[in-house]
Amino acid sequence: MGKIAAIADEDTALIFKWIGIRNSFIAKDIDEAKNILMDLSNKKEYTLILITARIAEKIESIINTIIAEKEYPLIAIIPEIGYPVYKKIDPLRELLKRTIGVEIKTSR
Amino acid sequence: MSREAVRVTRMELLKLKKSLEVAIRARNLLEEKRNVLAMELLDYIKKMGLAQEKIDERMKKAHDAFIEAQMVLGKMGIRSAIVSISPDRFSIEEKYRSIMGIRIPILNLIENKTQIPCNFLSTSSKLDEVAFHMNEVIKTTIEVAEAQATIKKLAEELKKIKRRVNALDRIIIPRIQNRIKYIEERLSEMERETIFRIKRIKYLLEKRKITEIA
Repeated sequence: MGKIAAIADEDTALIFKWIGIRNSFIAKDIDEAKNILMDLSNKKEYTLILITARIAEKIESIINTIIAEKEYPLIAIIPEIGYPVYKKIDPLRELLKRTIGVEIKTSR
Repeated sequence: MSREAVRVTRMELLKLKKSLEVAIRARNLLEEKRNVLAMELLDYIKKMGLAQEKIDERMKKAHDAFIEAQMVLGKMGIRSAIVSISPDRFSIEEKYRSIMGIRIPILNLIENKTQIPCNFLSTSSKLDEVAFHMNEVIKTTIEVAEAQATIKKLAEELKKIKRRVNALDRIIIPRIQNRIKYIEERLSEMERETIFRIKRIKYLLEKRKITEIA
């Protein structure tokens, strides 16, 4: 049975904590986000980490590495509560390009 | 194995022809498997895109409800309405299924039905809406995560198959074909030599016979 964690801005993390994702972390800057993500990805108890898009955009390379190298945790990118429109990043694109040799977009 | 190491016998030729047949059949099967997996992969990519769209839509609704709640309660009001942190209400159960022998994860969201804590004196129905939409976001995120894990597995398997098909196409099959060609050429050469030798012996014997008679 795996747990869910979240790395988000203050408002989204608060909402996540409120609705029942106890391990919701507020990342104020890139370094903090990187450290939290590395820390969470090294713990075996987490199956899924939710990251808000504006943070994910800044730590895209680490996300891509974790997705490519580790089976778990899985990483899902979601919009922030205050910024529902966001720049789409596609963490599987690189992996698919490298493994299949064809560029396929996974997000619309 | 170099050409010199090949034993030039009919038995070896038959063995190699059998190996070639097996290698070609294996290549065809791998290609078939590759096609099926590629279709599955595209299917999951489509599913993931649709789930992502659903998340965006829900998040937009949650955002609108959140803004409205903020207008009614104010930023500090929201914080006092969300009085305490819920215990962990979600966990994920991991199961597996198999697509053509590949272990694909299935994720089930286990939702603990405890009430979301709320300060009833200073709350708004809009906050309930936020909680409802966010709950849906988490449910759909599980679909995205499952699709992501499946896509990753399928892509890795496709890479392996591609490597195997390439090895069969470019190394193993051509090597067997070359060996077959070499053995066939050597055998026919040996056959020609034998025919020539027999003719020569026949000629010499006939010549000796004629001299003896004379």
